[in-house]
Amino acid sequence: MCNTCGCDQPDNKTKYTIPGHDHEHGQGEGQARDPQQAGGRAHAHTHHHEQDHSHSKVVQLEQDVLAKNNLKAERNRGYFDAKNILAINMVSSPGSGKTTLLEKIITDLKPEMSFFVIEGDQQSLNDARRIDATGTPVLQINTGSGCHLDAEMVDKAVKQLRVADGAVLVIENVGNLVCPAMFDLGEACRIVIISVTEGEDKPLKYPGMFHSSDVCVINKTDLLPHVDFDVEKAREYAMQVNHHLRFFEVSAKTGEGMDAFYIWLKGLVKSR
Amino acid sequence: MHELSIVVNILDVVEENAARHNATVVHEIEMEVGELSGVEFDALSFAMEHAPKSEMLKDVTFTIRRIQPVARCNECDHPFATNEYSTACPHCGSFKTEIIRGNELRIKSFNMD
Repeated sequence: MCNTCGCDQPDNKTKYTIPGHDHEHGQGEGQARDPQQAGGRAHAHTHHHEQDHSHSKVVQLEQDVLAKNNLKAERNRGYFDAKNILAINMVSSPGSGKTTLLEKIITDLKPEMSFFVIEGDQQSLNDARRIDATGTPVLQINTGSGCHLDAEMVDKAVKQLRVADGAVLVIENVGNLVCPAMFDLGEACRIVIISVTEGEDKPLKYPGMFHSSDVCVINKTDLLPHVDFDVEKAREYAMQVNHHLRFFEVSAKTGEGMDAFYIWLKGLVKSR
Repeated sequence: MHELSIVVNILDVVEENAARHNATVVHEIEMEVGELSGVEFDALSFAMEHAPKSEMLKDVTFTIRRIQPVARCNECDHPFATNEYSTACPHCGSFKTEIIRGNELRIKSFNMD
C-alpha cells in the first residue's frame, strides 16, 4: 500500500537486493510506487460547509481501506497454495533474535526441506548476508522509511527470488510490534517472537500483533536465570489477548526447546 | 505512525472512484473506524488535515464514525462491549473471547459534484 509514516522520500524508496547482485536491481524493478503527489497542497480545513451542496451526489463505497493490500495478500496466498509453498511471516520487536532463530532453523532443517528467505529491514543487507552464509536463497527488502512489509513488496520479492515449488518461504518482517500487524502478506502462518530480555507484559502493551499471530515463540530462554522475565505470566498475558496462540519456549543460541518447534514445523509442512 | 499513509491511501481510493463518477469536487468522505482497527484517532485526524490533496479533494472534510468494539465469549456466548483485546468476559470471567466488531477501517461513502 505505501511506505508507511508518509515520509517516503524520492531517495528513500523500497529496494530489493539479492546478496552478490547488489548492483543489478535499481530503477524499475520492484520499486514501491510513489505516494500520491498530485496537487501537493496541504490544506488545513477549518471552515464548515453549510448546506451548499445539497444537490450533490452521495456515492456509497463501503470499501475497506486495506482492501488493496488484502486483495494482493490473497493473490499471494493463492500463488503459494498452487506452488505448494509454505509461507511464514516472522514478526517481533527489533532485537528479539528473529534472524538468529532463522539461522538455527535453516541450519538444522536444511537437509530435510528447501528454504527461501525474504528479509525486511529499513536499511542494510546485514540480515540477508547472514542467511546467505547458510547457503539459502535470500532477498533483502529495504523499506527505507517504511515500518512494515506489505503484500505488494512480498509479491515482487517472490518473483525476483524465484521461490521453488514445495519450498518453505520465511519472511522476516521489519522489527516492529505495531504496524506489521495490520498487513497480511498472504502467509499461512504468522509467528510472533518475544525474548526474555523484554518485559513479559509485551502482549498486553502491543496486543494487535499477538492477536493477529498464530504462534508465539519465547526466545533466549538460556538467559532466564539472569533476568526477571516470568514465562508463565507472559504466556498468560498473550493468552488473554489471543487464546488460539501456540507457544514454544526456545533458545536459538543453545538449541534448547527447538525440537518441539521442529516437530510442529514438519507437521505443518506435511499437512499442506 | 502509519496514519498519514493510510489517509493518503483513502484519498487515492476516493479520487479513483470519484473520477469514475465524473466528479469535479469531493466534499465529504464518511469513514467507519473501529477502536481496535490499529489506528490512533488523533493521528488520523491530524493526517486528514495535513495530507497532500489533489484539486478535486482540496476542501474535503472527513466524518468519522467510531465503532465501539464488541467481543463475544466462547464459553458462555455472552456479547459485551470492550476497548481492548484482553478483556475478561464480564459474565463468566473467561478470556476465551473473540472480537466480533471494532476492527473496521472502512470508507463508507463520499459526497461529490
